Amino acid sequence: MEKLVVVGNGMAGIACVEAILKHNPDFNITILSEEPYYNYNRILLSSVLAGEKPLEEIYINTQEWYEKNNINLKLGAKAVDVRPDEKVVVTDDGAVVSYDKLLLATGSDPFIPPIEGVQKEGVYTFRNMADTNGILEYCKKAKKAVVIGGGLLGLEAARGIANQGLQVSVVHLMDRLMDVQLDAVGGQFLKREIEKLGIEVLLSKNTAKIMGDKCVDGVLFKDGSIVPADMVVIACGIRPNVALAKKAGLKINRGIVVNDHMETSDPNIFAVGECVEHNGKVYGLVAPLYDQGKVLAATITGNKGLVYTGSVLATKLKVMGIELFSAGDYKDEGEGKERVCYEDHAFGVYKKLVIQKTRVVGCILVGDARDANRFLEMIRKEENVSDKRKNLLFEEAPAVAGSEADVMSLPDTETICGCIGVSKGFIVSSVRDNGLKTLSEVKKCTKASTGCGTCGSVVERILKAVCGAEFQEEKKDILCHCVPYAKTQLRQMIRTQELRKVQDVLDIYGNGVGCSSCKPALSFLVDEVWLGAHKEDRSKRFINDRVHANIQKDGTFSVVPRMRGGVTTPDELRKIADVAVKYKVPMVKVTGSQRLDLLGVKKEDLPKIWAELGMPSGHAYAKAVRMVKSCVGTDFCRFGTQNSIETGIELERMFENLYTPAKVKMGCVGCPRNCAEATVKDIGLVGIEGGWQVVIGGGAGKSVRAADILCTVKTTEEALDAAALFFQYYRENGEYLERTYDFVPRLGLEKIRHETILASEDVKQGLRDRLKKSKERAKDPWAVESKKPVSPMQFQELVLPKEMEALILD
Amino acid sequence: MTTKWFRVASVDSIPVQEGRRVYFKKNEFALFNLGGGEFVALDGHCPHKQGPLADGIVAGNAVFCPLHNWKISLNTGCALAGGAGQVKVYPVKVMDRDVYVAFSEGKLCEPEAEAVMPAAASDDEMNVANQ
Repeated sequence: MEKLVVVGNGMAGIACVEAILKHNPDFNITILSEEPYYNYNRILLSSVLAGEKPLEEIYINTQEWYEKNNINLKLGAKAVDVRPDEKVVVTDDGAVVSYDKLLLATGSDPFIPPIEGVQKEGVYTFRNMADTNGILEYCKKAKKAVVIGGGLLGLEAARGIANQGLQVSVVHLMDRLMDVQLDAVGGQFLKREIEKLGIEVLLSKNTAKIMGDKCVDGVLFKDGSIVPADMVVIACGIRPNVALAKKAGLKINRGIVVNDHMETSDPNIFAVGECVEHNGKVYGLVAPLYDQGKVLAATITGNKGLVYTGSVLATKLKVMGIELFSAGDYKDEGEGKERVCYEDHAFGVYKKLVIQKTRVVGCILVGDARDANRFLEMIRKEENVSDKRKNLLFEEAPAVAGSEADVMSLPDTETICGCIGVSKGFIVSSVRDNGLKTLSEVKKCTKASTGCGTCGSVVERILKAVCGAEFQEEKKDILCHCVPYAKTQLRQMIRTQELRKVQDVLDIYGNGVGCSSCKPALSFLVDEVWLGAHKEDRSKRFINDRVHANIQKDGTFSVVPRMRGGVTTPDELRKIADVAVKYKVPMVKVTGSQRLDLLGVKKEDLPKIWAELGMPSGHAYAKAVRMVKSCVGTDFCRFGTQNSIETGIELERMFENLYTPAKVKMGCVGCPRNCAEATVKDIGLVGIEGGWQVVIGGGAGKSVRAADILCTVKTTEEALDAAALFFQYYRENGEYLERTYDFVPRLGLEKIRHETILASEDVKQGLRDRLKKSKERAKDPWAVESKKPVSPMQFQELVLPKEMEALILD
Repeated sequence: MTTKWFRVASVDSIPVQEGRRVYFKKNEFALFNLGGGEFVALDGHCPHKQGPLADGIVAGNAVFCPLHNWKISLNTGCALAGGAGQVKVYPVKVMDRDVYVAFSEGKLCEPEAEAVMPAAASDDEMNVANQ
């Protein structure tokens, strides 16, 4: 096996290793990581600094990943020398690692300008996890920070530190912020927006000295001015880290020079990421690194062919709601170049496209970057935009009355919410200052539309106009972005429009496509409305519901036969044992629901196993009635006051084979000792002296909630009836995936009582009738589909013979 | 160069908008019927945790892995919606109501433009069923 040694455990190096692994190479891989951490997302360090994400959340690969791929990872091992003639790398602890192929992904180092005093306490660079931790720690005692460098990194750092509660000044050598990505006008717009966040911006400032004794106490500039500060962050850009490549004698300009195949000047050494220079360009953003990694992976694994042709640079930045985007060549001076511009100073919106002949070659967006992808595509695809020149900047013609644009033309003093007295200006500034994204957030923050509520749609339009692409629909209410209607509304539509196919609902009310969230949800709604009187399109169901078994991590399935009340017989156990032996079932397990689980079953064996078991489905894979867990009760127990086994089995028979918004687990216990835990079940019957307590909304799943008592009744018949009323009520009113322990508190126990057990006899009979009707249609899917699959290939995979002959076409 | 095409299934063996696992010479692939005579073949395992993509829910030009709901493009094999990684896409041909796949011609495609910066994988609500 060839030895591949990778120097660098950052995003580029690991993305490249991942690409290499896809080629199934015969490599023995060693990764030398100077930083003592697993691979993490460096881009998100600014989110960590801003307190938006905990450190642990930015790891990309875990220990498990390295182990699974047999990668020998050496953390804290800094490579200090390479000897290409001996093909070895030497690390700082003196270890000598030999390689057949060497991959350099050394990234870049922060550039520290020659300023006096950079070694003082309180001076940081902002590049890696150690820097981030150091800054966060120091922020606790510092009050005023100066960030040297007004580029992408510097602004991210400034925002993060401001979020930690410090006063921040950004100082920049050039006359505008982000001079690499922005023109003068764009820089002006950005400066104003940054200042609105309370961050001071000082331009054309050449730092002379960091002042202070041991610790920083200020920054002196060449113009003689001084800004006091007890912390300094240097973010003056990055330089490719080529130290090792130099030792290896590779060709180097600004970075390690590579060709289109990502090969360096040494045939056994390759390089990827920020440390390389391709076609005269060095990239410091993540997208090009991924492109390069794929090409390198092909080259290094002997699949040379793919070439890297350079990347269009695009930067998208968001500093507390300021949208900014820059791509391609933004300079509009020069032959044949034209400029298409839009400037709105009041709203801080600046848009510029640079056009050369027929195509867009560069773009700057400040304050509104919702069209970023559209423009980037134009640049990347070198699209001819001649026909679109009239409305290049705005895809659609400005909309008419009632649109966002319309609302924004209102003066700031205009009262929007008459009840509470909230002006447009206040809503706009609240949305901006607090990063509000949904209508309910605006309501909470400004109180607008919390009176009579009629201004809701206007408030929402203002929100949309201010947020742009950041606007979010109310999450709770709508089913999914593919079908943006409330679940209750959809139920209504399905009924009144007589929609019996999920695809019809998607086509008429949605985007026609759907996703893995809304398709199963709509399947449930359609099924629930038509009580099974429709032909189901199985492709809209999760795999578990297509094959009536629960998919496991290795792609096999589990089989859990129904064992009502947890009571079984020697005969059933014998059949289970026989099946487990015959089909070489890897594991038989007693579940938490008092039944047996056959784990590791192949899909094609499912129908055979069901037929041979001759037991009904336990629905352990579905949003459906699972089981009733019972205790021994009066049959054998010396404490039992009620016959919990017989009642539990009866309860299970009443509801089995029915589908529900989320799984329904039940319990039936013979006395309040509660041995079968009925009070943490969706529906529980608790036997008491002379009667039953019917309890609902309990659960011991993601959250633990003790059930509420729906009612206390004298007879078993009454108890089962109360359970049935609640069960059907939940089926009709529960939201898809909403467990009863969320449903009951959402609606409130009193409301549920009044609409079930305390409702008029008509209402109660309606619930019972609908339950009866769907129960009549419900069938045990195992019994039906083991005999007659819904499609010939329902359980089959496509296994091709090894010796299959190929058809050769020219 | 000559391409070797292997007959994998007849056009009506896989229901529309479903997939099936294809086993050939120790490798596992996923073949999807998108309807309208269009079929797509990918490597069988999700780049995330090797879930069987063939068992996922198909929606438009994407399939959602049944294990953790990763969204994989059926055009490019790339993980979408913030996921990282990709699977190979294989050329598919339909002839005389049979579906043929060129298993030796798998390609790692360029991702479609989706977002400029990568975001962390979305923590979509999962369809979890336990025993």
